[in-house]
Amino acid sequence: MTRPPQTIALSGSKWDAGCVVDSSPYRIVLEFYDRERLALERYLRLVGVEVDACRDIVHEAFLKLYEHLLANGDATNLRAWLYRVSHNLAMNGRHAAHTRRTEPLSEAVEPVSSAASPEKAILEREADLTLRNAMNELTPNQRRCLILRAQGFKYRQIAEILQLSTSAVAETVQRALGVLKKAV
Amino acid sequence: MKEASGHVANDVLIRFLDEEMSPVEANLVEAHLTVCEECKARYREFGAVSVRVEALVSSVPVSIADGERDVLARQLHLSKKIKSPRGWTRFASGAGWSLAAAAGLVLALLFLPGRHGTTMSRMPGIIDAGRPQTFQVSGETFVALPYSNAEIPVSAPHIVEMQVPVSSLSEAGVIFEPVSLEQANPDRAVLADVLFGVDGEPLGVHVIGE
Repeated sequence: MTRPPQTIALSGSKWDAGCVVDSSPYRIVLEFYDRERLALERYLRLVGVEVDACRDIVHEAFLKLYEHLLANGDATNLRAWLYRVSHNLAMNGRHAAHTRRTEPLSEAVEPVSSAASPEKAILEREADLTLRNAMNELTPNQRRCLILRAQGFKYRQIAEILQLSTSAVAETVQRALGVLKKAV
Repeated sequence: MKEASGHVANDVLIRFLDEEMSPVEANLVEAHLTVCEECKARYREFGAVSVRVEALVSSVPVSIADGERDVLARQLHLSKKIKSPRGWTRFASGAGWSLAAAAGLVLALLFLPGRHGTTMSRMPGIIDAGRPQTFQVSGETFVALPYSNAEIPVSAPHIVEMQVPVSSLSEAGVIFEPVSLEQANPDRAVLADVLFGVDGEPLGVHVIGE
């Protein structure tokens, strides 16, 4: 007898809210990869992971996701699961040596300016520099919470990824935004 | 919800901004914001900072090339192909587990078809008796698998720690001979580093332990 395809709700993000994918783990992983790899790499870069290690971690995380699905693991919040696994690989695994604990946002993440004129570009750059400096003043957890929040995660998902309580995430986000608001 | 001053606290404003409160609570905050310019200004400031953080995050350049997807797809396909019923199961890294398991390992490794060669590293009790087709990557010695393609560059290899069924290794020409009867279970697996080429195909294997 042929097994029915798995039905997995890809919940908890801007792009996947309410979306239900009826497919095999193979297709789910590749679909996830298409949608998430860039955002996941950005997260890893912003928490201080070197470029080459980012690639390896993203790759390994998606392989783990595949195994997770094959093993009929909990599929209720795969996006948060993927980030949690990636985060743990970056912080605790063999890639940890390639992750800077201080996580400066300076040279590691040079943004691409979209300003129409040179003057506007200069202003944008200055404002951006102020924000970066303020971000660098945050604690690692404050920065991680803000980055994940900026990527569309809800507090409970951030809590799951960083293994904190939801109330701790709320408090951390509040403090971090307070620091940034004063600085910029 | 309101502070003694009669204004809404920052944490409440931020939870309202993030839609992290009940509809009842949100209605109260919303009603207050329509009549309180001070709270509305703070709410807008938090919103503006949040937008700037989002812009900063999304402007970070990325480096993962399109070709990486093909590598992943091939690895998934391969994993699917050899996973059942006697596939290679990747094993979540656990140093404690692997060290403990390796300590109890009593196996002999034979390579087919011949019986000559050099001793493998990190493998107590190994008898290398087959093709001396080993190579080094990142200081680690790998036994070349028969479906390895010598043309595939290994400059940026993916080394993945996996549980590899002994039966799968046998099919690849890498035979383990149990030294004790306890090790004779044909369904058992060994812990190994598997080197994948840029095309996602396994190039070599380095058995670590059981």
